[in-house]
Amino acid sequence: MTGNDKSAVEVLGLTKVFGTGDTRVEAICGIDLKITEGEFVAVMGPSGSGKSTLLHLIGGLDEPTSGHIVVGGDDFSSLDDDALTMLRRRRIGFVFQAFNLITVLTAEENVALPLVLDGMDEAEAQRRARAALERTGLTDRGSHLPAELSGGEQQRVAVSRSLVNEPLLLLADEPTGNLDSATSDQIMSLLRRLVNDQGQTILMVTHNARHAAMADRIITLRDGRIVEQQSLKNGRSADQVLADLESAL
Amino acid sequence: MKLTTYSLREWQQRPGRALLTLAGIIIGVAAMVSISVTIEATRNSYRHMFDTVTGRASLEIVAEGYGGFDPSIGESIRELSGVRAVVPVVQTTSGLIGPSGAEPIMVLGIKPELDSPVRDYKIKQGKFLNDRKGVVLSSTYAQRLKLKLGESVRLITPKGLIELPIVGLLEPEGAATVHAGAIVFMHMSTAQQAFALDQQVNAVQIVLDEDTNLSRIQKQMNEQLPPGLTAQAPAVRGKLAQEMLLGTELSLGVMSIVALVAGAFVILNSFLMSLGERVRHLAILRALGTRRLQLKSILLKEAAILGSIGTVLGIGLGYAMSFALNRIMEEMLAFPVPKPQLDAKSILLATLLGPGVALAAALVPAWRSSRRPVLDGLLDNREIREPVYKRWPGYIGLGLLMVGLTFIALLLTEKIQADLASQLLPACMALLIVSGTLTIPLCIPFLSKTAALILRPFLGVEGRMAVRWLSRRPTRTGLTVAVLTVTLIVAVGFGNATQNSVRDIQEWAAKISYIDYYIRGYMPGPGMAVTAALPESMADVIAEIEHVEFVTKINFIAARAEGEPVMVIAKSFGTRSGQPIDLVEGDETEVMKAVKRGEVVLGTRLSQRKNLKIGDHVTLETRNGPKAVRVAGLATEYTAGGFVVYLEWNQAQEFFGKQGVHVFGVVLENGAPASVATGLQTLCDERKCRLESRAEFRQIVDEAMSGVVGTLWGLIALGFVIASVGIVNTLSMNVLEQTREIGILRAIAMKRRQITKMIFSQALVVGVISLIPGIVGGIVFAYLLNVTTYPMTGLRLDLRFEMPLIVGSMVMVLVLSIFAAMFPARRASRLQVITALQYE
Repeated sequence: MTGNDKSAVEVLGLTKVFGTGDTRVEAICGIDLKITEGEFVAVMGPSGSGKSTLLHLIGGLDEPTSGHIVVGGDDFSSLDDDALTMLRRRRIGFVFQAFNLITVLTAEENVALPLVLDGMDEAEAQRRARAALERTGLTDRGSHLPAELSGGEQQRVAVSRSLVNEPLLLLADEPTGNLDSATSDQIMSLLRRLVNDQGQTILMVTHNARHAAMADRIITLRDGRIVEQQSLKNGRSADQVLADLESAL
Repeated sequence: MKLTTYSLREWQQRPGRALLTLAGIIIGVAAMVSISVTIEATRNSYRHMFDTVTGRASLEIVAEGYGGFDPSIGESIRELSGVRAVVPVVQTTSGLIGPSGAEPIMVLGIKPELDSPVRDYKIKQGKFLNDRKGVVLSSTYAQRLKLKLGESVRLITPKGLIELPIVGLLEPEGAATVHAGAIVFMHMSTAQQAFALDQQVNAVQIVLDEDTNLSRIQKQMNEQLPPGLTAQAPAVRGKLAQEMLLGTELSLGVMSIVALVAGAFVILNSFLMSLGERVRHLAILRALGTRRLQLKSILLKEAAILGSIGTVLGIGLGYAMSFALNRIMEEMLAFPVPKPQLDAKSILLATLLGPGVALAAALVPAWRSSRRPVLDGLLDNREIREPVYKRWPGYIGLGLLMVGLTFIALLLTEKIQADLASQLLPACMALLIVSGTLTIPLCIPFLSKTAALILRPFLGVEGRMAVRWLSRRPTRTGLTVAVLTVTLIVAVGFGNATQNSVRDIQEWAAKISYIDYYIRGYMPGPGMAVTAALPESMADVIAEIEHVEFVTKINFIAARAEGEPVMVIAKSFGTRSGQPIDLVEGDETEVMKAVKRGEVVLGTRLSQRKNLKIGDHVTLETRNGPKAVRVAGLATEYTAGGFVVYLEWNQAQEFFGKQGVHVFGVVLENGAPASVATGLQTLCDERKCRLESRAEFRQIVDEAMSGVVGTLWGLIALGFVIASVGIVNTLSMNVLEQTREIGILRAIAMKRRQITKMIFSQALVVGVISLIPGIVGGIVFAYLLNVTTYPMTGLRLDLRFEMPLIVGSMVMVLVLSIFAAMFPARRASRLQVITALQYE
């Protein structure tokens, strides 16, 4: 782990309300959160607790009702759509449960896409895409379309794509949700290695406590509020963490 | 990888969608190009015919009515500074007796020793006209008619049938290419003798020095020339013919704009659907950092690329179509229209409009896609929503509708000049159609309910589901209904207006058909650019045939009235009461008396253009200078597009000189036996003339009309093709979006047949929805076309609604809707339940 105390993400008084009147739902209710660079944070909670909403807000995919989100020193509230998009492009990587690959592009082209969008030279983008695929063990699968890849391979392509721009923050929304347990373990090991070897900051939403236990910190949400935070850096075993989580949930 | 790779892969993934979009562009561009190229070819055929005959001459001196005059008049012109050569000629038309009767041919009588400054001749065989004998033909023309050097040609002239030996054949170059080579060159003295011009010529061609100011010297010449003679550009001879074509050009112009607008609706629909299918991909692109502008740029580039490909293919298809259209124009004009050429104007117009329309159609979908919240497309559990229907385009449509109707009101109250109105009318009609269709979505809820009510007894639960589904996609449904509505409006509006015009022309032909037989050299085209004059003495020979009551002589003289090119129809009016002219104003007996006194009857279009009424005086340019003549009546006239002045025969001879007779009208005594026809036919066989009975004349008119009607049906069919592309688009997209629902319906035991019925019901409902605005709009359009005919042409047409056409169009729309549903319905019914349930 190469973590330090420099903050990668800071969230202050974050709220998100959907609907109005009778249909009004407070998905996030005044959350404060700080994630330091190189930290691997898992977010857990029952369905409807606001996990994914929190992730989308921090990823700049959705707008908060109130509060502040600061990623790498940039306060979202001071950014217009273009600036927020540029921040997403250069400083944030996404891994989704449904992989969200462009089905008409090959694995390598999917990985190269954020670089191409950034105007990088074609050859250089290709070289970096290959390197990113190599890091996730997909060197030989670059020329395949997503439909020709297994679920695990598709998710590894998605991880490669999220890393190709060397982002400050990697957001993973239930990255193993569509995978079998063996493949899920491979993906989790991959994420862990990224944190250990490269000091990657990761914020991951998961339902799986065993996977959450591989993070440095677990945040538990309920009804849009953080109800518990546990650090796993104190040497507690995964079984102890699981037991604590069950009681919290 | 470039970003265009993504677009290309999308098209590869959904070739059907890309092809449908392309089809919209191709059809629109093809219609526009074919019409533009054909119109240009037809215009050029008239313009270039006279330009080519006159070679290097920039001006020609002619008498009003193109009669003969003394060539010595050219001597004073020769002295003017800037004049290089003055070349007198006899330029006229005749009929050459070919294997299948008389063929129209241009005659040029020249003095070879004077002609070289104007034209070059390259003899291929034989010799030129230096010894004053015989004629020289284009080798290609001679080959076509199987004429050989040394053989003789027979020509119809005012002196009768003359026979002249072929002394030379020319290479098909320069003047020898005029009228597809149908030109005969002879020595001027031969021409003067054959065409009763004594020592006169009927044109003096002027070659100028290169740096001479054309308009200045033309003005100088006209100041110097005696009254009745004028210096003009050679192409002016084709002006009347071009004026005549304006009506046809106008209709074709409106049709091409309509095709383009309908094509734009198809493209817009296709783009909306294509982007609807790609919501997730576009959301991923946005999540990965694609800026809104960048996304818009990707999508607009796609539109531009498809637009460009569609334009290239559309130009190709349009060019191919122009050959068929050219053929129809040739049939209509009875005039060889040169092979269509892809001109720079048509290409430029297509290059601008094809990608332009594609870009314009993609603008709103691209803008919407770039504004869509990223999460909407990204998450599985959110339904991909069509943007909420906004009412503002409907209100804009209403506003534009008012603008269009205001224009019509100004036209009807004659506050806009007819010339300007004819230029603006195509755009106005297109505006009315576009604005009308923009307002359609405002009516969709009402129309859907009405359609549901009508179809409920027939379609059952599948029909109700179809209505629900269509209501969930108001924009898509609205656009498809719009395309169908435009097609119906055009079919009903134009179809009705054309049928009304055709009926009016047939009634006009019936009214003026008091003549039992016509005798002429050959049947001229409507432009009257080429007619052969027969000897006037033939009138007496015909009159001597037993049971012939009287013979009327008719000439068609190109002249000018009030500065406008007009056709003077000179007639010797008989004694029997009848309707030699289809009068719309004026008492028949009084008018005929007045015409015999030397007054004139004007065609309605001319009277409308020049605002002339009964009692006014019209100024005719004659060989003796301008003459003001009283207007005795106004008549419906389709010859020369209605730019016609009826003049009594002797008066016309005085005004324009003797020019032979173009047509003899033979009126038989009541109860004349059929054998009279045999006598007339024998005479015509001897003189190599053409004899037409009244029935045959009517048949010729009907055949000419069938060409116009055929073109119209062709263009309407094109509209239906565009509309069917639109329906296929909508239904295919509906089936795709409904895949999961279809899976659920199949899972809960809906039969394949019922699924098929549900899709067919959607098509039928779209068809029924479009019937109401389509038929109402079509009837209104037909009415507008009818009421605008008078201020534009001076013709008052009876407005009759053609029920077979209206019912036929309705049936066509329904059949087309069902036909278009076949492929999507087949796909839907064959979906595997599990696959459908897992469909994203």
